[in-house]
This record gives sequence, structure tokens and C-alpha cells, in this order.
Amino acid sequence: MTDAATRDELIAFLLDRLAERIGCDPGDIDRDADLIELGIRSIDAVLVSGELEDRFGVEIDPVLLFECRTVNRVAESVIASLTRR
Amino acid sequence: MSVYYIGLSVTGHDPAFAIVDSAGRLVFAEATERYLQDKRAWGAAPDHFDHLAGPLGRYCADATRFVVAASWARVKHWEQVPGEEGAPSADIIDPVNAFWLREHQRRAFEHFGLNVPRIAPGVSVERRAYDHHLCHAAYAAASSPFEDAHCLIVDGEGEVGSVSLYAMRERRLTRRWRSWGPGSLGYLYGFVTGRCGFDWRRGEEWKVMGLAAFGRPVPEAVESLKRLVWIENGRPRTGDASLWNDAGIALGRWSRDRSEDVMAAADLAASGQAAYGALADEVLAAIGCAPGDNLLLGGGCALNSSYNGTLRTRFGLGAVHVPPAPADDGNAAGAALLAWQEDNEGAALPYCPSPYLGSEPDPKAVAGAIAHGGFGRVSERGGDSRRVAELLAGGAVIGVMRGRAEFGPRALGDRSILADPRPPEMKDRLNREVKGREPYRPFAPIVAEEEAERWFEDAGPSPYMSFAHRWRADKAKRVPAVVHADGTGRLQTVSGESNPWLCALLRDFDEASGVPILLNTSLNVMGKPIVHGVEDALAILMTTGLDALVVDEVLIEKSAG
Repeated sequence: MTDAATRDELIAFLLDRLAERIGCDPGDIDRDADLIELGIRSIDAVLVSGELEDRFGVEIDPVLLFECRTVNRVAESVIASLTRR
Repeated sequence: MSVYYIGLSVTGHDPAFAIVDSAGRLVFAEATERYLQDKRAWGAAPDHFDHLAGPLGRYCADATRFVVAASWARVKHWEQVPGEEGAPSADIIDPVNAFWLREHQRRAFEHFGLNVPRIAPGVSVERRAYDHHLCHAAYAAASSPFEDAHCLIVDGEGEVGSVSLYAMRERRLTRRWRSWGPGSLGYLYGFVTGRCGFDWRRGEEWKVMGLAAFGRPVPEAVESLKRLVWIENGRPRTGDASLWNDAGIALGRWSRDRSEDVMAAADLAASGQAAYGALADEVLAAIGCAPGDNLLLGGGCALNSSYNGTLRTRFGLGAVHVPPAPADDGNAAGAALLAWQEDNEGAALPYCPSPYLGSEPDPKAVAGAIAHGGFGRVSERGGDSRRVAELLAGGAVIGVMRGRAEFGPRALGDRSILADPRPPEMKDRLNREVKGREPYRPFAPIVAEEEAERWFEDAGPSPYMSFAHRWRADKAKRVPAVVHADGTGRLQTVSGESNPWLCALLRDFDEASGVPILLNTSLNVMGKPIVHGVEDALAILMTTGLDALVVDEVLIEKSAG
């Protein structure tokens, strides 16, 4: 899979999971918006991290979502991990 | 140049250290609670200065380098959204205790290995840290005889969650997945323990498991508990604090206050055990075991021997293995083995089956007891299995402290109290006059590996008392003191290889009594750890109804017989 395709898949996955937890439509999430301002709670961050790890088979650092803070930056970081693997 | 790997259990409870040499041999392992004689040794350093100094001098005399390995990858910590109450962890169930647990872990982790350079000046010291569940898995794998297996770790909580699944291929581990978030079977069992009027801080989950046999699962209570934790694709999940509060209220009518009679909690204990079993089954069902596959179980939940005993036949597994120390003390061994493996790239995990990894009785203390103890009958017949068997068959209750102490929570014949399992009143006598514990608490049998099948249904090897099995109906009535209320026994199987003296003793006891089974319980009194020093064992002899004590080759008897 190309990086671009992986990025698209990652972003779609993140938007879908975050939207379900926040209770909104995936299309309503701004990919550069601060996740905390979007209304995610720490339990959401933990569970979405676990789903990312399961779906993409890469070890996720528990602080990832809090350090990256936006959908785009989380996706970039996961892609970097996938490339290093 | 010799390098040694010192593994440390740094959870904050059940500290322990283990030493692996450069060849990958696990040469020593012991929990700090033994040395301190403080049950679970909450808050004590796993590299306790005086405890560690002796074995380092003895087993690592040529050390030029130590690798000190911690059993957690980092300090327990959950990032939180500002203004939120409570971390997404055990805080949901009990914020006060969750904070307390976290702080103990933080202190233990931050200071791990502090004492090593002071004990061994001039030896270089490197500190490393390993994933908590991977440490559990490494010791489960290394203590097993398997080449390939599924390795399932279930405990209260690791770095991100409470369940991890590994695949072992040719004795190398790879993580397949781990659960994230606060759903935890370990915490669920701890919650039940509290509602039964027991204290998980003291490790009283045991009492729930034993008490369960006297009660009946109440469907309503089981359902209440199963609403607290549910399983999604093998991963335990839970809800928010209100769910746990509501369950506490709903379970009120079956709960017990500490001051009430223990039996008041029997139905809740049975319900808790049933809920645990149903949820653990869902975790197992999700891991994809094929018929005949081997399973390794680790983490604190692997101490649930009632549940473990049913697994092999119900899931059609080849064999199930639980290490001698599946809880956090065992992680000291796991961490040391992982550090060794990291320095021996591509190496398979070594095979470390012996649980006899701890300290030996101090000969000076034995000599002192003989010279100054004023005992009526002291002989050099401690090693004489025939003499000990005769005393046991005559009704004597005998403490045994021979050779190296067991690693892990179970006494396996080296730090045991042994007795005749035939008299129906033996259980009450031991609970009342020796152990000082509740009358319902069961005692376990030791049986030679080749005899187990004749006495138990579906029994496989159980070298570390990890499995309870049903006694064959015609056999149970011959050994009533070791048959639990539900007709099971948590057996230890022994072989000539693992413990030759104990095997000889079983044979001699069979000759003397017609039964090749001994009652075995740990050499301690309620609330205290298993003995460490000869002095600890002598104190039990002098202050309880113990009739005799074997310390290595010495036999001390209280009265003429």
C-alpha cells in the first residue's frame, strides 16, 4: 500500500472511531482541530489508541493522541511508525 | 567478564528479585516478603539491601557487569483531559486505592536498582525496563516445556490494559494483541473480594475462591457482575463509576461485612467465581485455540486454580501450563530472562522448570537450635523419609524446611506443613491448632505424577498446584482432609526429578498408610508469609500445634513418639 493510501485509510479510520466516541458525524471533524476541543475524553483516547493498534498492527504509545492532538498529526505519527517497522 | 541479569518486580506490591546468569540459567529467585516476613511487602524495595546482598555474593561472585531489569516499561500514568475526574483506569472503581496503587508503582519504578551499585562497588550497572505483561509471558514461557503455545496474560492492569495475548514459536514470544482501558477481570475479582468482606490488599482473593465451593451462584448476582465487565473480541471493557456504584448496591443483599460469619458471603463468592469463569471463557474463546494447542497462562488471574483445572478438557487443549509464580513476584524472573534474551539476539527462552530457586536454611541457625533450643528429641533423621512417613502415619503434623525455598505463592514440599490426609478431623485440627485460619479453608494434596490419574478425573501434570481437579468418587472418601466441599483438590504432582525426597516420602507414606497422598499446606501462620529463616520455622513449632519440624537433615520432635 502506498503512503498516501495508508494515510487515507488511517484518517478515515480515526475519523470514524473518534466520531463514534464523540457522538457526531465523521465529516464534521476538522482534521486539524484539537482533539480535546472536539470533546474527546481520556477514556476515548485510550480506547481509540487500542483500536489503532489492533487495526494497523503497530505499537501505539499511550501518550500519542495527547501529544499529536489532531487527526492529521496522529495519522502522520502512525505512518512514521509503520515505515520504521 | 561475567554478566548477570537481576530482574526486579517493581509493581509496589509483591516485590521480588531474580538472577539469570550469562548462560540463561535462572539461578535464584525470591520474593522480598519472605526476607522481611511481611505479607506482600507493600512498598518495600525489590533490591532490598540485605536480602539481595547474600545471593549476589554467592551466585555472582565473578560479576563484572549487572543488567538490572524492571518489570514495568515505565511509571503507570494515564494522560488526562484537563478538568476530568479520575484517570481511565482503576480510578473508575475506587479512586483512593487506584491512587495508592499508582504511587506504590511509581516509587518502586523510580528507585529500581538503587541498591545494586552500593552492594557491588566496581561492577558496572545498566538499568533496563520491560513491558509488564511481556515479563509475565516470559516467565510463563520459560517455566514451560513447550516449544509452541498461545500465551495469555490476564491481571489487574498492565501499562495500557489487563489482557495481552502472545504467540510462542520455538520458545520466542511475539505479541498478537493487548487490551486497552480499564476493563479488567483482576479488578472485578478484587471488587468481589471486597464485597465478600475480604481484603485484596492482603491477597485474600484466595478466600473467595475457597469459599465459592460452599455457596451457589445466584443468577441475579452473576448477571450484576457480568454487567460490570464485558468482553469485546477478547478485550475486557467496563463502564463508568456509576455502573460500579449501582452494582455495589445491587449486590448488597449477598455482601458481607467483615464482622459477619464468613459463610454469609458464600453465595456471592460462588457468583463471583461463576462470573469470572464465564468472562474468562469469552477471552479464551477469542484467542483462537485449535484442538490440541498448548496454552500458557500468566498474570495474577492465573492463580485461579478452580477455573484453570477445567480448561484443558473444556477447550480441547493439548496442555495448559501456569508458572510457579504467575503474579507480580514472578515478573522478576521474567524481566531478568528478557534482559538476557535481548543480549543474546535470536536466542530461545531457556527452560527453567524448577520452582526451588530461593534461600536455604542457615546451618548456623540449625546448630544454634540444637545446642540451645532445649528440645527433648533432636536427631539427624530429617532426611530419613521412612521415619518422617511413620510419624505422619501416626498422626503427627510436621513442618518441613528442606533445601531451597519455592519461588511463588505455593509451598511445594520444601517449606510445607505435611500431614496425614485420612483422618476427617485433620482439616479442623490444622486450621485451628496450627494455621489459625477460618475453619472452611481447604487443604491440598501432594501425589506422585504417575499416581494422579488414578485419584483424579482429568488430571495432568500440576507441579505448582495450579489446577484443581475432581477426585475420583471411590478415592475421595479415603482422604477426606484434602477433599474440598465441591469434591475437588488443588493437587501438586511430584516426580523424582523435581523433588526426590518428597517422592520417597510419598512412597514410604503409602507403605505405612496404604495411601500415596499427603496433605500439604504452606509453612506459615495466617497473615504471615511462608517462613524464611530457621528462626521463623522454630517460632511456628513452638507456638502452634505442630508436632515436629524437619530442617534439612535434622528432625526436631516435640514429644516422645
